[in-house]
Amino acid sequence: MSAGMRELWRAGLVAAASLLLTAAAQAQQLPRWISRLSIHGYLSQAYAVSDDHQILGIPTEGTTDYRDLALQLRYDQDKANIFIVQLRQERLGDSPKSRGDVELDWAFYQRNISDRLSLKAGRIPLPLGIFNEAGGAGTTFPFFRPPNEFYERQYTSKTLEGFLGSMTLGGPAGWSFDLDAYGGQWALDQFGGDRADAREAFGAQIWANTPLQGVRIGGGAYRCTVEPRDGVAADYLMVHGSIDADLDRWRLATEYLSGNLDYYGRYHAYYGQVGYQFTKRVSVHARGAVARMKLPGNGYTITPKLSDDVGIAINYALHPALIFKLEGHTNEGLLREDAPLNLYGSPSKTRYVIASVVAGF
Amino acid sequence: MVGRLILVTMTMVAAAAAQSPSADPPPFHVIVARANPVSSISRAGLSSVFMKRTRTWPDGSPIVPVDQPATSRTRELFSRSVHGKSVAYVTRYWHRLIFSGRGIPPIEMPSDAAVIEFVRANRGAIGYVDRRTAAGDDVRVIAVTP
Repeated sequence: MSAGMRELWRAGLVAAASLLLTAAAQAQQLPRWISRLSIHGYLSQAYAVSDDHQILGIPTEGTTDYRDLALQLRYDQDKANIFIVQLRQERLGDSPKSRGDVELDWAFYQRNISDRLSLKAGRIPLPLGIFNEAGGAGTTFPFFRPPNEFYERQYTSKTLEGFLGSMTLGGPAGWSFDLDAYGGQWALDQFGGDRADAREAFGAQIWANTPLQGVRIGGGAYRCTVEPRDGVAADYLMVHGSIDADLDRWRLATEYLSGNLDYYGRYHAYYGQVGYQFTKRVSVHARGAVARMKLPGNGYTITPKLSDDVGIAINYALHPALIFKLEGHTNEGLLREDAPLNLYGSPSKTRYVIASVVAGF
Repeated sequence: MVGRLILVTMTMVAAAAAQSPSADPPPFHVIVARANPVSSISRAGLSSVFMKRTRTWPDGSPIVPVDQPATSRTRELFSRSVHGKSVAYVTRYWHRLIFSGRGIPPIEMPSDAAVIEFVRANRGAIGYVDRRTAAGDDVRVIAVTP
């Protein structure tokens, strides 16, 4: 049995076990401690293939080793004290970011000081933009994963080791505001596979929820100290802004970010995504995403075209929590993985297709 | 180009407005435990309870909403009538909260009978059942106001 098949079997067994546990937990007349435990999870399993170059871990010969799954255990000791652990496995084909094993994704304690104020400590999902926290749960967005250009950057993470304070404030005329402030550190993936830490990180995010249900506007920023490979420590400052509109039939999302790694260079990315629900089961979505860098040299500056990605997806929902997705993308940029990254080289054009099934419970 | 953008925006706003909760009598009964003194609830209040934005009854005791399965016809009617949204929208909403570690949805019971039994056994519970289902003497049907 190949390694890919073994991984697939392991993923299936984890999903089946979690479904059984959920069924058991939902049964009535169980001991009190079980009634305080809730189990949730998701699975996104894909077949992906590219044409001329390997990109985002997708080889030209295709792969089924493309999945994301998680199992979450949540224990509500009482209204004020909550413990959450989430295990996750993310496989991205031949990508250097692929990790074979199931990893501890989150492990944190949450103290609800009131209905509007909470504190979390431990390994926490990092609140950043629309999709960073729930980025693996394929039932929450129409493509296999959120835009690579925005969410898979070099100096950020999906999780934070530290603390997070969250507050909700009411506003006039149906407005409300969600505030997050955090501090700590996270691990970085760098080019070449080195791992380092982003240290002394702190940041904040605010969402303004408009009176129109499902429409919100957000923004935030963080700073941290990073050590680029073969370099010296530098401060990284990132700012981001988002508009998110889920109007049931129409779904729109657009985000912008700008990252400044001191004298090493700058990065900015933006994307727009729009979708329409044609029937109860069928929806169609389009997305365009752009990433650029600005690198200073000795008396000159280069601005490589890192990625221009255009994609279209068709979603078919057998159930609100069981969705088939078929998506096609055209990417032009420097993301090809079958040759060393060359920031001075010409952009390559690559097309890729992902067919996936996603489920959440 | 600007004209197209305005047209798209107007279409979206019109679509959102068309999904506003209906003022007609709801096609379901909302039930609470017999010991619960509440006699009516507004549609907006009901939506807030089932989205877990309102967590306590007027006397300060916790509210325990109980939902029907996502595939249930009654759930679809409830979702359209109370939230003004599809079950798919509400499922997405909850998955975003679950998988960002920010919340969990109401407990689900598989049938009207199970909802009635759950509400009967839990003083703070609130649920809904098909209008044609006899709620019985152990729970109380409360009015839903516009």
